[in-house]
Order: sequence, then structure tokens, then C-alpha cells
Amino acid sequence: MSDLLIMALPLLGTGLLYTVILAGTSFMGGLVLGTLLGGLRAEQPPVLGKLAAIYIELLRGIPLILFIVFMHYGVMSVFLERPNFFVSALVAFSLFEAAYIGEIVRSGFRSIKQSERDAAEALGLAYPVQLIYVYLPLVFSRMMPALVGQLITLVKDTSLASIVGVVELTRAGEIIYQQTYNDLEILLLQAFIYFVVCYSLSKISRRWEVQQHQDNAGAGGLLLQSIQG
Amino acid sequence: MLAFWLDPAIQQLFFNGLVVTLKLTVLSSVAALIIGLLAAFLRHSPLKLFVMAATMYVELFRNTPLLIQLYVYYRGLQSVGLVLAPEVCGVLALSLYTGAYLAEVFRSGLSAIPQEQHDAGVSLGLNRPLVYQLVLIPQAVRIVLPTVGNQLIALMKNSSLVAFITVGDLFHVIYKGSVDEFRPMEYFLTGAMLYLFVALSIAGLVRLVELTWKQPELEAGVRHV
Repeated sequence: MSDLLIMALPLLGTGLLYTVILAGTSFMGGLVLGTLLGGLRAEQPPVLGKLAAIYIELLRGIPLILFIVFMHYGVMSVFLERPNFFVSALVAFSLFEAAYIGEIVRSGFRSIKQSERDAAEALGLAYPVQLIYVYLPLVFSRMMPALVGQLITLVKDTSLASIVGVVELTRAGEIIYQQTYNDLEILLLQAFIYFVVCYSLSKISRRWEVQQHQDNAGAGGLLLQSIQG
Repeated sequence: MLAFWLDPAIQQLFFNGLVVTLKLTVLSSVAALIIGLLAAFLRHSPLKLFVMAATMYVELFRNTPLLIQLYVYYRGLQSVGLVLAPEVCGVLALSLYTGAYLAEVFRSGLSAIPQEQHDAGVSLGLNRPLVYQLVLIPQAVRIVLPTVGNQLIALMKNSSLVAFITVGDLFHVIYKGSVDEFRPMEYFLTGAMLYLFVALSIAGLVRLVELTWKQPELEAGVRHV
């Protein structure tokens, strides 16, 4: 077992690094696009609001793996001469996450009270300024637990990138046990690594949530319930 | 595209895949609901050991990728000589994974009901199981129904991963078609539409149940307490 660990750990470590890079980068991409989509869907400007809604509902209705495979074999392979697996996965994850993050942002917008909107209006702020300095900070602070939850889901979902050949944690383990034939040990080790990453994220998020509760006397509590339940 | 859809061989291919996906979804949903309920009750139980076991189950299965869980049952167990049919692995993985999520959903549903409801049940002379059966569960079910629906839709979409342990589900058809035959557009679009259709159907079904079980007076009552 110890020989195996000495051989497996560096490879799994590199895999984990790719998992973290993939999850981190696509989460950032998803956050930018998702904020735009969620904002549009919540504030409902003509046409664009509807388009955002259609994008979100369409992507939320199909399996992620279908989207990744399509992105690689259907889009990237058609437009690029030598499509890169990592880029395909990155684009697919970002676009897919944007739909889910968009829904989170939308419920954040819905949590903004009329009085808060009135206050922003009364300060004489122009709408774009209200959006950037008042609404978005409110949305993000209230939606933080939901966003971290989405990040945890994304970390687990990056395992699907192994299907199109990205050597992240799942694929790294696969490469090891295809040579050493001790699938179970390696798989359990991989599960443990994923668990440590995701569980720590959820613990951090929960601590943050508790702190928020103390900060604004449970104002976010009802909201959290309405998102999670 | 039309020629693709009208081809009887293609139709048969997609139909077979869809049937496998639906079977997996229904079986795993039923199992996941039972497992989720069980785990939620264990976490409410007065016995510390049960609470700990259920909490460990929920945290472990929620914080590891479904794909890894599938591989553990299929490849992992195979490597130590325990061979399970791929379909069995699929149902096992999907129901344990979704069960952990549902346990959390049920638990939050139960704790969303005010303590007064519990006390009112006890003061009416009901014993513990009856308080749950007659007072708490009927209310909790209505609260969690939409979320449960979302989880079941997620299960249906997640079932696409069984294609990678050689189960011939809808995604297996799409994957083979787009990679082996190199016709990604046709297979992808048709598959996406089918998945969307099934997802919307489940959502509609849940909405129907929601409307049937709706009791306005009851909801108003809960709000007053």
C-alpha cells in the first residue's frame, strides 16, 4: 500500500491541481456570465430578459455531460483544427454554470426589498450606479452560501471532464489503476480527496452563513430557506 | 435533420435508450425517496449513534462526485472480485447519491415547521409516531415537494453517467452516435430535446401533485402559528 501511495500521490496531486484550476476558472467565467443572465432575467428588460430566461431554462434541462461532449465533438472539433480538451471542458463548464448561477443571482435580485430600491432611488443614483453599488453587493452577500454550494457542485462535476480526456483528478486515478489493477483503493482515495475539498468548502460556507445571521439578525435566514428549500 | 428523424433505425435507437433512462430514473427515484426518508428520520432520532451514521452517510455521498461513486461500484468492486451488473451499479449509485440530497431536503422540511405544531400534537395526546404521521409529515411534504421535484429531475439528468459503465441509456446512444458515427449535431440536438422533454414532464407531474395536495386553509393556519 505504501509503495502504491508513493507512486499514486504525485499523479493524483497533479490531477487535483487541474481539477482546482478547471473548477476555479470556469466558476469565474460562470459567475460573470451568470450575473449578467440572472440580472437580465430579474430586471426583465424587453427581449434580453426573455432571451436570458430561455438560455437558463434550456441549459438547466439537459445533462452536463451531454453539453460537454457536444462542446468538444460538435462545436470545437468543427471550428478548430486541433481542438483542445481542456479548452472544450472550460468553455462547456463556464456556459453551463452560468445558467445555474444565473438562477441564484435572480433569486438574489428577488430578495431586494422595495424599500432598498427606494433608498437607492432617494439617493439620486442613476440606475447603473444603483445596480453596481447597491443591488449587486446585496445579491452577492445574500447569495454567498448558494454560490459556494454551486462551486462545490462544480468541483464534483469537473470529474466529467475526464470523459473528454482532461487529466484531472478522476482521469489521473484512472491512468494509475489501469496499470496497477487496484481500482478500488485508488477510487476510494480519489473519493477521499474530493470529499476533503468539498467538505471543507461547505464548512467554510456554513461558518460564513452563521456570521451573516449574527450580522443582520436573521434577515437572510428566510431567504436562505427559500433558496435551499 | 428530418431524414434523420424519419429513419426507423434511428427512431428505434433513441426509443430503446429513452426506455432505459426512464426505467433507471423511476427505479432510482423510488429507492432514493425511501433512503432519503430513512436518513432524515435517523438524523431526527434520539439515538446519537443513528444520528452520527446518517450524518456521515449524507456528508460522504453529497461531497464526492457521482462518477467516482459509479466507478467504485462497477470497476472498484470488480477489481476485488465482486461483479455487479452495470444496471444494478447504476441504480445503486443514483439512489444513494440522490438519497443523501433528499435526506437534507426532508430534514429542512421538517425543521421548517414551527415547534408549536409538534407541541400542539403532543398536547392532543398523540404519541411520537402519530405526531409525525398526522401533524408534521403532511405539512413537511407540501413544503418540500418542489425541491424534491428538482432533485428527481437532477437524478434523471445524472442518470446519463451510467453510459460510462456500459449501460445503454439515452446518453449512450447519443455518445456513440456523435463520437463513433461522427454525426454530433443530429444526435446531440435530438438527445437534448428528449432530455428537455422528460425534465419538463417530471416538472409538470410534480406541479400536478402540488396542486392536488394544496390545502389553502391549512397553509393559512401554519402561517398564523
